Amino acid sequence: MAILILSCESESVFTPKKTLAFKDRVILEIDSMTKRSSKYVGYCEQLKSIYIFNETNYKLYFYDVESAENWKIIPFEKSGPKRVGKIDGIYVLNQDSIFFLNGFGNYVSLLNSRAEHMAKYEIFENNNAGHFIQTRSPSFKYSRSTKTLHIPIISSQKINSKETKSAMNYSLDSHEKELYKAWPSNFRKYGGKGRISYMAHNYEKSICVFSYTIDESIHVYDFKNSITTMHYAGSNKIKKPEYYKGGTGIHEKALHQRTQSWFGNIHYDKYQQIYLRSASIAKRVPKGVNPLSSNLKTVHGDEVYVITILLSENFEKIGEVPHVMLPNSAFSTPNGLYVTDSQYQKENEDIMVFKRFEIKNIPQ
Amino acid sequence: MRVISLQLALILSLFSCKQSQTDIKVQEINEILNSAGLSQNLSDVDILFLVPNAGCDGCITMAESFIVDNIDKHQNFITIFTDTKSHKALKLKIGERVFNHDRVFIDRQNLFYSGSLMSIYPLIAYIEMGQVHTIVEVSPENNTALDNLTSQLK
Repeated sequence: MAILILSCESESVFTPKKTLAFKDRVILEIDSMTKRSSKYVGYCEQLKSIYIFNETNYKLYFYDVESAENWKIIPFEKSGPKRVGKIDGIYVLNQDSIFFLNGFGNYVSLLNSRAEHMAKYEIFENNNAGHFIQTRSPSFKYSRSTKTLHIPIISSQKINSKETKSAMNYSLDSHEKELYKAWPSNFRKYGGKGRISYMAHNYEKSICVFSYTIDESIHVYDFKNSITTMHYAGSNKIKKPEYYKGGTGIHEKALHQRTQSWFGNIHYDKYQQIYLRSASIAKRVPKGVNPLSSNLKTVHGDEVYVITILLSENFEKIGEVPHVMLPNSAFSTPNGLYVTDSQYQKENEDIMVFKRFEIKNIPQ
Repeated sequence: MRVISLQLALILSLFSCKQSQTDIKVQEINEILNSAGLSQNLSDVDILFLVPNAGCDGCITMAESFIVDNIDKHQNFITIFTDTKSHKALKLKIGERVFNHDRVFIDRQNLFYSGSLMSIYPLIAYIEMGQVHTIVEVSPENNTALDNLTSQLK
């Protein structure tokens, strides 16, 4: 039985102890078929490489993170007998263990470097299961030690709000499924943006840290005893979002999303033993202005649209860095934290750029 | 009688507000066409299709497919892609041939993405004598917009 322990405390006076210091950039040269804003980008620790999956030509490109050299391309088949099918996510463990997620079909395919199908895992056998793979979250991972897939999931309206689950462990050996970690109450009342969760695994401590878009606290789930603890990981700049009371109109939805603050991705830097959690700040949208306009100020009247909150190993807030956001592709190496940079030489569409940050102490 | 007059006035004011929203768009697009000296080049054009970069994804994808399917078949419409964040991404989406088509334009200065024209929906502007007289949104609430457009193509 899961027990919930609350250890929340909002911040009154916060003194940052650490920050992110920009060091340099990694610039990858991409071909004419690959977009700088590619959706499926990640880091393969075993290969020490950044990978980019191209949705147009179904090729998977590998770049060495040190040299920025493109050292391998694996062409997958879009159609035909070896077709991969529709892709909603990708996770590369190594060249011969490439996982593709299909959200609609609720399955995961495992392919090798010859683009051959090795296995297909039916995560939910049918669409009546009441749970689905959450494809908007990047938090799909594989644990080599336990041979387990960690998959972010979402519960449909069929599932009573107290029975919802936001993650699943799927054993590749036994095919056993373990659904765990309830969604925050009323998460369905915030519209589409409220139905995204992010996870960061700390395998050494056997915990998974959840960041829900609507909750200033992080939820720490301990696999050993199924206990969840909550820790404040918010900001004075962020107010809890309001319920979405609009209709099905896209304009209304966009307006709600842009005028509320949302927490986002969470990442565990195991080299620095620090958790990083990003958030976007609510914008002020004057009447009659397109909510997607790029010229909007925040509700605070400034241009700090995104922040990243730093948390210690014990989940104490130790930093808040403006203007840095963790995209789905954020990753760490012993050399630092890497996040994509869309602004550097933004006219050049034949490069993909990563900024490298080091975590730095702030003198007290 | 006074109550009826007030109700009538209210209805009329609501109607005129709704009218004026479309009128503002029409006025703004005509101002842009005139000030940029584009009106004189629109003598053979009946329709201007304005497609934003982001917003209603489904509406934009439908508009792009429509353009890809029809740009060679019909001579009386032009397309302007506005607020385009990535030319490369657009080229990959609609294909190089359509991207470079002589009736497809990229609004590099975002002339058509200002004021009331900043829309999350593609806009169809109907033109007569080089001036826009009607603007229609391609939106889920107006799902006949593309069918109506098809009937106007020559």
